Formats: sequence, structure tokens, C-alpha cells
Amino acid sequence: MLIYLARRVGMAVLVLLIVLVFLASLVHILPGDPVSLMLGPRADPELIALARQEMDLDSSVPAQVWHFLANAVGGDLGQDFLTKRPVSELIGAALPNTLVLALTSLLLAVVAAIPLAVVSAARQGSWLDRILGTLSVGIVSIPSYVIGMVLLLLATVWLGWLPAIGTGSFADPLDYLAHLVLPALSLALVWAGYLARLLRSALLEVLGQDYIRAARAYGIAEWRIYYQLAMRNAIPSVVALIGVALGDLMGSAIFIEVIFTRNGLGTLLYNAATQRDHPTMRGGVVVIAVLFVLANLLADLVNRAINPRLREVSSR
Amino acid sequence: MPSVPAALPGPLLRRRGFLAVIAAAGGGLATAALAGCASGNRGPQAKTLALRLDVDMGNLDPAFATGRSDYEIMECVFEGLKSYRPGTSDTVDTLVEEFEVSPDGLEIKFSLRRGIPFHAGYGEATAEDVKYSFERIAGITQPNINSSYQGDWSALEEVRVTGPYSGVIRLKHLFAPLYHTTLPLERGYVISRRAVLDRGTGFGTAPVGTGPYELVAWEPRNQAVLRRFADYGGARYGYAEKVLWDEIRFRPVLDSSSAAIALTAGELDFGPFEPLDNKRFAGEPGYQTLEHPTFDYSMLGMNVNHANMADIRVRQAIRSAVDAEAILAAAFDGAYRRATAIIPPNMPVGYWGDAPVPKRDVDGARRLLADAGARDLQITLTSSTDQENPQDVCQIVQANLADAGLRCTIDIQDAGSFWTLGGEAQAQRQLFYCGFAGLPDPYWSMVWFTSEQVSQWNFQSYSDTVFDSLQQQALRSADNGARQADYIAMQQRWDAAANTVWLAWPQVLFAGRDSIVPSIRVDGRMLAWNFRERA
Repeated sequence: MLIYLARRVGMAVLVLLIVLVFLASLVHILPGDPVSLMLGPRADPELIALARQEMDLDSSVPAQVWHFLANAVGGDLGQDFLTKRPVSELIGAALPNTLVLALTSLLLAVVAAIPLAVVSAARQGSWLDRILGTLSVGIVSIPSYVIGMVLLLLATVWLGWLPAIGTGSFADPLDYLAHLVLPALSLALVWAGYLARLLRSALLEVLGQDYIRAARAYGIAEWRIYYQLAMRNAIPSVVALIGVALGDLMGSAIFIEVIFTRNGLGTLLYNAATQRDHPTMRGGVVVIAVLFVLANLLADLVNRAINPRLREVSSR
Repeated sequence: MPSVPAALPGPLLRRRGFLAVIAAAGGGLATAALAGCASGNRGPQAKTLALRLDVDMGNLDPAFATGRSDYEIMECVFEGLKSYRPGTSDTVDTLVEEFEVSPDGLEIKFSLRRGIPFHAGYGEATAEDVKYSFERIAGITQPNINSSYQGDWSALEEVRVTGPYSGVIRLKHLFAPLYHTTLPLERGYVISRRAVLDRGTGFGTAPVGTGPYELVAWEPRNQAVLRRFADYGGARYGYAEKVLWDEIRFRPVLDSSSAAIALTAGELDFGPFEPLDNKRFAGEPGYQTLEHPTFDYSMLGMNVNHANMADIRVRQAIRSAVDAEAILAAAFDGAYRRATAIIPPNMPVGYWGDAPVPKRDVDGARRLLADAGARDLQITLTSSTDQENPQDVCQIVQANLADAGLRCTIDIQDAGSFWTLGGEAQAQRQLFYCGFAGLPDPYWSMVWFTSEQVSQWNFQSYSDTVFDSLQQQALRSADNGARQADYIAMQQRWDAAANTVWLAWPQVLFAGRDSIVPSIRVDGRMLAWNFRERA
């Protein structure tokens, strides 16, 4: 187990290094000067040079990576060029909102996917299975920001139930939750459809196995067969995807946060990218990469915990 | 009941626990959703104004502020010696009670209103604060803060303090934009010297001015909250009514469609919108729309140093072939005015009213190309992703040019590449679509097209020594009549060079509730402090 963990952590560190090298290289590879663009035509060469120095863009790629890592160890991710605030402070204010959004969406997706999958699998080939299948595939093929716009119109303009923009405050949990519902649903629906199809296939495979036939022969209730016996062996296929899903949700959150005007990593990155604010962009991307790597690591560990076959394979 | 044979050894994570967690969370979320329903649809409170920003606030320090969002908040927080009277292009006294320009124009004596307090207990505004505010941006104070806007104060020699509330602004040479852009706009705001020294770089997000509102909270990407300044000195009450709102909330809603939904849902009162979203509210009961001119311009430029564009007949042919009206209708949704030169009619000085309005003449374009021996010319049309509808504009131009027999390849580049690649890349540019932002003085429109800007921002590579000397002459003239003549002469020379097809003078398109009476500055910025309620 320890060797496995060390191997995975090593891989995670390598991935992060690659991300850092890629980010540092971008400034050198891409044509044009982001600093001149950011400062506009009225900036003189001296100011442009100072700004490049301030953002460490004049250093070589290895030096940039090293400087970043050395500072990051002490919690210093640099300074936002426009607001002059520490990047770590900006990320600290945005990250909890994005994490809450991504995790809530994931939870909603799983909660919706399980009954949908069970119903589809139980009625395989029926009209209900076909309708659910068509709905799932249909929703999967719609980008989450389109779903977001539709939900926004429906819930705020037509029904007038929920607020349209903003994040709310943790100090007012009800208000915060009210602001969370629509963005979370927008992200969750796509994954709910996808997970439902995946889980249905896994369930159908499991339901054909001998131990399920034996259980039926013993007269065990159908709901127990689906939700207890079959689900136990079908769920690992979903858990394995949760790391990927979390990464995807963090990525999709960029669009959703922009649409719903949420203060999160997505809007932070969007602003930084449009304003060419390199330090904030670098800090934000690195944090997302760290979260993505951690989520995958965690999903693998959970998967190993609930799927003994994986434990056996990796212990050989 | 018989025991169920386990298919595999018992899992470490019990499914019952797993499902219980999910069920509990689902129930919690459902409760949350219902709670949200109960507290949803919160509109603005009484005497609270909610305005949309299309970009989040960045930095409110007058030396570093960069865009319209910053400027609109700063208008509420800061005041300068002079301002534009809301809705007009006249300048009026704000912090000054006396303002006297010497006969040679090189000295401006000013006397401040007394008893004008800064926010947050930073005391009265004094002549020392004026000196610090202006010299700081000019790069005279030490250490030099290297403001991007040193050019606005490039003519400043010093501000001499002659008393607690009086001083003299001494200039090295005449600088006409001083009265149209530097003093009445952002670089002319007076800041508290003590507050800047106390707050350092934090001043940009915790500013201290003398304006009618103070910034009390900034939640990045959510809102900037301004509250009425209880001790406001009333410097603007000579030309405006008392401020109405207890609180002004600037909400950065980056997506225009989302902002339109938020306006419909009652979470915004007013703001700028993209043309299509703006049209949704036109004629809708309960809403109003407003188009306000700017000093911006968009154009198709031709690089005269490129071999394909060197022959003026080719450039004239392109000018004849392009259907500017079609571009306005299809790419800009009919929302902008057609440009006939660089300076728009709303500019206080320099508008060329008799500028020719080219009509599309495809046959004429063909003849010109034939005369130039350029029938098989293949040209490249370049633009940038940060321009308005670059795909649509370029495709229309491509089709227009094809009608005249010119083959055209479209190359839409990332903004970083388009704007900042100098040297060989810029020399290779042929035909390009782009726009620039302008200010209420023609100097700032013309400055990018002088000879010294070739290879920098003068992508046309237009070099004309007479044009350059007229620009210098107009810069150092205090006579608006003479300046008008200079700028018209410059535009005539530019027109004769046939290196530009003028497309549009963009406008800011606003929409909002019809219960609001908006107030807009001459350059299209919202003057939130002066918004009223309709009686």
C-alpha cells in the first residue's frame, strides 16, 4: 500500500511540474508580448520592462519554475499585477466557492444517477428505459453553460424563485445555498446523465451473474438485489470516474461561474486570462491542477478500498 | 431469511454508509433548494442602485486604473479640480473655486474650496494633496511610480503650493489635452497623500477621495459596494443635485446575456449591454435603452509599406469595394454610427463634417485594380480575437473584395500576437481590421498615427511630416479654432493617402429600468452618483 501511495504521489508531483513548465513556457512560446498588451499603448518601454521583471517573465523557464516553487512552499503564489493583492489571498477567497460548487454538483449527479440507472436496468428494453436513455444521452450532449442559461431563465425570470447572479455569503447559509442551486444543477445534470448510463451498463453486467440468480432463488426482495447486492459490484465503475468528474466539473465551473457571476476560481481565471495577469493565471491553474491530481488520487484510493480485485492486482 | 452469500470479501467502505451519506446529502440539498426558493428573487433595496460592470474592478488608483469599470467607480469616489458637467462636453469647477490660466498658458493658478474632507478621516483636501496627486502620475515624485499615464502630465513642470488651499500648476509647454482629458478625467483626481502613504499598493482597492461615495467593500468578482459619504463636502453641488442613493452596488456580470437576465429578474437596475441583449429591452414596458456615443473608432487599415498595398490604386480599389454599410448592419447589428474619418461628431474639437462618405463602387474598384495591374492579387486580412465580431467583419470584407476580383485570406490572431508583434510580423501585415479607444480630445486619437509610431501602433505605416507637424501644432495650441483647422487638415491628408476604410464610431449601449434616470459622462461612462429616480 505504501509503495503504491508513494508511486502515485510521485506521479502527482511529476504532473504538477509538467504543468508549471508548460505555463512558464507559454509566455516564451506564444507570439507577442502579454505585458505590452496588458499595459496598453500608453506604457513606455521602461514600465514594460519593470512589469516583466515584477512578473518574473524575463527569467528562463527553469528559473521561473524554481522561483515559483520556492515561494509557493512558503504560501506565496505571487502578486496580482492589477490589484496588487497576493494571489494566494485571491485564490483563498475564490477556492471554497468553487469546491463547494464542484462537490455539490458531483453529489447531485450521483444522487440522481443511481435511481435512474436502477430503473433503467430493472426495465431493460422497456419504453421507460428508452426514454431515460434518450434523456440521459440528450443531456450529456448539451454543454453545461447552455443548461445554465435555460435554468437561469426558468428559475429567475419565469418562476422568480432563485437569485440570478452572485455567490452569497457563508455568513448567511440560506442565501449562499439559494445562489448555489442553479449553478450546481447546471453542472450536475450533464454528469448525472453520463453516470446513469455508465451505472446502468455496470448493473446489467452484474445482474447476469450467478450470485444474483442465487439471491433471486432465495427469494430476496428485488430492491435489495438492486440496491444492495448488484450496486456493491457496479458502483466501483462510477467511483473510478469520480476523480475525472471532479476535474471536469472544476473546468466546467469556469463557464458556469461566469454565467452566474460567482466568485470562484473560474471567474478568477477568466478575468486573469482576459487581462493577461500572468501571476494570477499561473496560481489559479496550478491550484486547479493540484485539485485535479488530488481528486484522482483520492478516487483511486477509494476505489481500491471498495474493490478488492484492485487491491489484489496492485499487491502482486 | 437465509443469509446472502457474499460475492466478494466485505468492502472497507460499507454500501449502507455510502448510500446513507448520499441520501442525507440529497435531503440536505433539497432542503437547501427549498430554503433558497424562500429567500430567492431578492431585488435591490430602497435607495440602493445596482449597476452592471462588464469587467470586474481592478485598481482604483488614478495612476494605475485601466478601464471603464474602474473609471465608473472612481467617478463616485474621487473628484478633480475640474469635471465634465454630466451629459455635456462642458467642463465645470469641482474642487476649485478659482482657476485662472496665465496669458501664455503656462501657469494655472488654482484655489481650492475649503472644508472638503477626504474619506476615512484623512482630513481636508489641500494644495499639497493636489501637488502630490499630479506630480505622482507625472513621475516627478520620488520614487517614480512609473504610471502608464505619465503622458497625460508630460507637460507638467511642477505644482507650486502657495498656501494651504492654493497653488500654481506650471507647465513646460502648452498641452491642449490638459483641459479636455487630464484635468477633468481620472488623471486629474485629487487623492489624499497621507492615505496613499498609509495604504501603499493597497490604495488601489481601498481608495480615499473626496467624492460623494466611499468604497466600503470589494468582493472580487461579486460586487463593489459604495456607501454615501456622510461628510461629503458638496464640491459637485454647484452643478448637480444632491446625491440620492444610500448605497451603490457595482456588479461585475461578465456575460451580457446573464446580465440581461439579472436585469429582468430585478437584480440589476442599469448597465451596458451588447447590441443583441440591448435590443431585447428596446420598447419593452418597464425598461429603457440608451445609446451613447464614445470617441472610439474601428477601421480597416492598409499597411502602405507592404508590397501588395504600396500602390495607392490598390488601396483606393479596396476602399471602393468594401461595403461599410453592410458591415454596420450585419456585424454590429446596426447599433453603431458609420465613421467617415477618425474624429467623431461628438468630439469637442476636430470633427470633419465634410469628410467624404465613400459609396460602394465595385466596377470602379475593378478598374483601379486593372490600372494597377493587380487583378490576381492575393492579400491577407488580419484581425484580433479581442475586436468586435472579427469573423463577421472579415468575412464580409472577404466577400466584398472577391466581388472586385481580389482574393483575400483571413487571419484572426490572438490579441497578444495581433497587438504586440512588432518588427517583421508587423511589416508583413497587409489589410487589417481593428479599433482604438478614444478620449475627449483629438490628440489621443491622432497620436498613434504619427511617423514615430510606425512599427509600434501605426500599423498603416503612415508617415507624413506635415501630418506630424500639424499634430504638434495642435497639441501646443490654446486656440480651439486653430486646433479645429489643424485636425481637419490632418484628416484630409490622411484621407488622400487612402490607407484606411473607416467603419464605425462605436457607441455604448445601455439598458435598464425606466424608473431610473441615468447620467452619462461625455465619454460614455456611467455617472452613478448622479443617477436619479423618475418622478
